[in-house]
Amino acid sequence: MLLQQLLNGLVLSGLYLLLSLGLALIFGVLEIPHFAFGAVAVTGGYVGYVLVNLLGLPVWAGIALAVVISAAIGVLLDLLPYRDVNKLPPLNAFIVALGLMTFLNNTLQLLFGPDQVQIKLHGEQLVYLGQLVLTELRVALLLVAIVIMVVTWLILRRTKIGIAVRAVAANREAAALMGIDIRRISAFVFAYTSAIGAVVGIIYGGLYSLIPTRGDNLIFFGFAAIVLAGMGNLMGTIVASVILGVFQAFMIGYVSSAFSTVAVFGLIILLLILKPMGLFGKEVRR
Amino acid sequence: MKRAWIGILLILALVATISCVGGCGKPAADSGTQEEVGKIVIGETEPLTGPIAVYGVPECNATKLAVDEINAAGGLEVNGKKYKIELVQLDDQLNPTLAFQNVKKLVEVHGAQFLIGFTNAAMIMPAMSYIQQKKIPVVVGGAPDEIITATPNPYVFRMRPPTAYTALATGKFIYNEFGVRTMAVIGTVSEQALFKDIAEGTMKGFEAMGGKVTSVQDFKSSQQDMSAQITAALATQPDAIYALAPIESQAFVYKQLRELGYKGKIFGFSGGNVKQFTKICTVDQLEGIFDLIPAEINPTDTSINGPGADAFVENYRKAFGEDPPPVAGYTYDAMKTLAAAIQAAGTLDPDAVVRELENLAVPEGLVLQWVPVEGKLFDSSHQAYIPNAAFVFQGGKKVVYKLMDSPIAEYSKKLAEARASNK
Repeated sequence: MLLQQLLNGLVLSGLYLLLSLGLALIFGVLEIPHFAFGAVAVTGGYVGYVLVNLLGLPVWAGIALAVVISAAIGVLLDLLPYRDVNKLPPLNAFIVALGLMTFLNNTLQLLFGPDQVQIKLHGEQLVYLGQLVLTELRVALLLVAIVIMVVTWLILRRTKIGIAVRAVAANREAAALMGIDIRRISAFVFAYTSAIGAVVGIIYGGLYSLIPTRGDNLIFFGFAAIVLAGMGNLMGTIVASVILGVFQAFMIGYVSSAFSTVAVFGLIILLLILKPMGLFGKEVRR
Repeated sequence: MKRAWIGILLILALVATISCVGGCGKPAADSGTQEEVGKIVIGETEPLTGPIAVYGVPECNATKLAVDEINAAGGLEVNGKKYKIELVQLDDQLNPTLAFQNVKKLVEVHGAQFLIGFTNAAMIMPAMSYIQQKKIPVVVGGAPDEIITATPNPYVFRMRPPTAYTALATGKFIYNEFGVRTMAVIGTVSEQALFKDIAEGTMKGFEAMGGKVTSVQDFKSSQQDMSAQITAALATQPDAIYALAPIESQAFVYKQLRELGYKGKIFGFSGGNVKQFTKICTVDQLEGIFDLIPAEINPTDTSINGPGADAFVENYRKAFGEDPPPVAGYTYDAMKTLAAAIQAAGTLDPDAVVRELENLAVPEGLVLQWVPVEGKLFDSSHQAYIPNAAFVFQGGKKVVYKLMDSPIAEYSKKLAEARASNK
């Protein structure tokens, strides 16, 4: 049971990782608490649902097109609701994010109704690893999470735009003085993270199901991971996501399923008491 | 500043929790037509949006069908005068506060003289004293919680047998019929009283026969990944799994049991049909799973249903373009029963209608197979009964496996005692 629970936990970790990666990028670079990210992910999922289930596109084509559409939605978010929001007091960004979340939830409800939908990704075949078992779709989720993590790392470390993103994250004013186009970087970050969101939404909609307000649940664990890691710390986010997913699965398996969520957040509170800036956050002395 | 965001996150968590019970109200259109001769207003509150809409919508559809049939046949004749029924249906989103507001709105704004519906106890219990004070006869349709008829309210009657009645038979049936000796339970057992009741009753019956419950795994209905709970349950190597949750959650349990390679026996308590389950799991994943519930309407085999079942199934398909889900029979029969009582009373006086309901024999043409208690549809606790049954999913259909024990006398006695102790 131990290894199977570890695998179950890693699948959850994969989801948390993709969610928290998007959130951490936006917060780390733009200092915007993108609480609507869950709703953006679910919107991407619904785009995938339209393309795959309703229009009958092959799964790979549906996912690819949904990712492109979501990236475009990301650029729109940067241009419209979030434009220059990080120059304003933090509460403004919070209100914008909350409003955007409500707007997306209600728009999806208007378009698709309250009933749940499942995206037909056809990954039900079982993959056995000795005594352990996973479906193809769960294996795909793990692989996609790893691939996106590596690609993100490569973009940030090996590309011009990635270096510019890191420069903005490190010192926005200095980056601007060095000639980096902050608006372009902001649009790129929103496009890239919204594309990741679409992948999360589609896989979630295939593995489980989508309803318009599903993003509210998703964002909860995504933020939990980045708070645990230390807000905006990308590598810490990976570790925190794995801790959250595996700890949750082990709590259910070995202690009690009734208190697993309570235990997860109890753990986070405990760790934050011991390390107030998160596991990998930098200490700030005033 | 990053510390400030942690504070904001906590605020958001609070807001998200409060807004969990979301959705929009949607008053249903009146189905009746206004006639000069007379009008009887009947109100219904059900969850028409949200996760339990899967029960509420077909319940409302079935009531509407019954009202349409009554009105099409000329309405109700009460003491020589013709009355058409005006049905007002409101959405409570499975929110007890909203359900109570709906009851008051139905009575005080729409002028409802009678009420139908209520999908579970939490929707009607807050309104119990109001119903008694206003003298509004109520026939509850699909709500399965024992507390409704264990609470002595002279105006409230209930069609669906409570979960405890089915639980009395389920544990013994699993043990005797299938030779199951060890069983793990997975369900929303701490979140929802009705599933807690059925789980406890079934386990008690199973253990009384000598069976052993190896594990009880709990989850929330908002949860969609139960693989950790299932892994923990399967690690105890049970002969069978007993799963109980609302249909959508139940479907995830079935799906993930198969995805974790489980090939053993699965028993459930859900009342869902193939169409509802296959929104989440495949026909292959459903194959061979048993549903142990009261003998609800089953379009693919109505042999255990009442004399009106075939016509109901056909008319429901015509009206709504799909098979009636299992719960639909309760509200249809509730409406027809209420109509029969009003006609027999020969007056709209609530106390007279209540007296008729108390003494009513099983009306003709109902869609479920009601078993009378001492010749009457309702027992002394205002509770009606249909047999318990085992269904099995086979080849993409839900077919009748066989009837289970139906301990009506035993349960009715216990219910009367519980009702008396609540006086």
